Amino acid sequence: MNFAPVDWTIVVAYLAASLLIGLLGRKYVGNTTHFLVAGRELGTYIGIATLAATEIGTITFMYNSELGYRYGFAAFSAALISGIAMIFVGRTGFVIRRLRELRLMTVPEYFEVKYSRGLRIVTGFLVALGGILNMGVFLKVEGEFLTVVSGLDQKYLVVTMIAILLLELIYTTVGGMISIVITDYLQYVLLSVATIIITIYAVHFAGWHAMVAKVTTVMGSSGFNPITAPKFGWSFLIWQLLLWLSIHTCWQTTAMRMFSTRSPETSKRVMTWTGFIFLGRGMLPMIWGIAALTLLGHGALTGGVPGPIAHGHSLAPIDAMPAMLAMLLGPGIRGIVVAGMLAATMSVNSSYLLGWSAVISQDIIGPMRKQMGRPPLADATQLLINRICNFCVGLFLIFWGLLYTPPGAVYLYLNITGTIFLAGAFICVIGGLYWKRANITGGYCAMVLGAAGAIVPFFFLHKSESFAGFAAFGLSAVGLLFGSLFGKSTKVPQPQMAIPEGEAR
Amino acid sequence: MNAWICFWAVWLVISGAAFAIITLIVAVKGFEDLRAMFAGLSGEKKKS
Repeated sequence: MNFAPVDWTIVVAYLAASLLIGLLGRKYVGNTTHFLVAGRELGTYIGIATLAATEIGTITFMYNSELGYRYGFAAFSAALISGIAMIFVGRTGFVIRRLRELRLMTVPEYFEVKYSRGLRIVTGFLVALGGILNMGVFLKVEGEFLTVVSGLDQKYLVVTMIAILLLELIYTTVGGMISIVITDYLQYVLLSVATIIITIYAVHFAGWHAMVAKVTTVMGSSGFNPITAPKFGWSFLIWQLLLWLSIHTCWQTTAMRMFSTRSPETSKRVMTWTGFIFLGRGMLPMIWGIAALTLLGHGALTGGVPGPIAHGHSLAPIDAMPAMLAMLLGPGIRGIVVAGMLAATMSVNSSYLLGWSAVISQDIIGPMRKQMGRPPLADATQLLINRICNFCVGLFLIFWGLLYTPPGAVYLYLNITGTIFLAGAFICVIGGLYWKRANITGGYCAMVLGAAGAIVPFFFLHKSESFAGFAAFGLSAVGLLFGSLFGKSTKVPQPQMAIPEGEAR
Repeated sequence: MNAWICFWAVWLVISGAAFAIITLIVAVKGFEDLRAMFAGLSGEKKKS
């Protein structure tokens, strides 16, 4: 056991405070708009806190440090692209400004505005499927981090996963987005303090020159140059650019923050400043991974990189960073860092739970009822359905997390599962917003070909992630173009574009 | 290779500094935003 009583005290105090603060949100929930988009009351600074906290979790630290461990400084290219793409979207308002003006609550809702209710349901299904599968690996990886750092026995992994999820479920189900925003503020501050502490420790103990020397010895120039790195190259970099542009505009949890802001201008400011945080979100954990390679990378070569060894035991590359933290951090500091990581975990998971369950309730159940000619649901019933969806997604995550282990680097698995729906959704949203001839046939072709382009090459033809990513975005664009030009010229209905405050479409 | 090392070192410093500075600003000003959000939500709830 690596944890001292002071560490346990800090962690338990944080968990109790987080739960109590989260429960505060309940008294402000009056309708579905409050529950899903916090009444669209987010200002710039709290918007930055909640967006950053949502997209920075223990899972983010784990996969980015794994990338640093496996690919050295060349991995920084992925972080640089994510940050610069976000700053570009924020400065220009590309996609997000127009989506915010429409007063949406979910991304698939746009598909009914521009295309058809049927396409909204199909998109809602793909978004929920891809999103939940994507989130499915979070709990296991996060549980591993906590057990490695704290020194808890691996047999407690399942209990740790369930405990984390239950705490998140309690306040997300009760207070929705309002509770999430309040806890995100606290969690963002705590996770940032932990990030800065770990970076100082990692660089101090490993040493900059030693890290450069280790990467040079193990990987040569490929450890620095992303164009010559075997897993990277131009195709990877272009795919990453497309992927991150689509994530910053169409990823449900990010988009929900944009929909929750006070105005389109606020959403642009939030996106721009969070872009700078995204540079650190990627590069800082990557440098932890490189530090872990320097300090622990003495094992047998796997994929050209020496495996980590801690206390005489061989570990997987993804566990190198937590093992290094367990070794470097002293009592008290370890408790603060683990509380920070728990904060990161809870902020991401609670937002993702709300995001994906919102898609199920708003874009699958609601529209299907309308399609069947049923009357709209009362607000209280909609809230109840949202809460039940939250609970069911949570249950699924526990079972999926136990059953499934992703092959290869977790970052690439997350990218490819996201691409399943992001390629089609991104192309359809851009086509819908900026091309007048985009129509329903093109929309269906783009969604189906985008999903097929990611799934078939990666899972069945065993092509690289970059190839599958390119295929998904390329086929989706071709689908929208040819489907719209040569498909049946269906008249696209233009329902009321902006809806009154407090109402659901 | 040295050019790449310098390039990544500069970006690492920029990203670390931006992360720390923005965190500080958000920690202070985010609290004011949070209070404004509560005021707005309370007002809306009273109206409805």
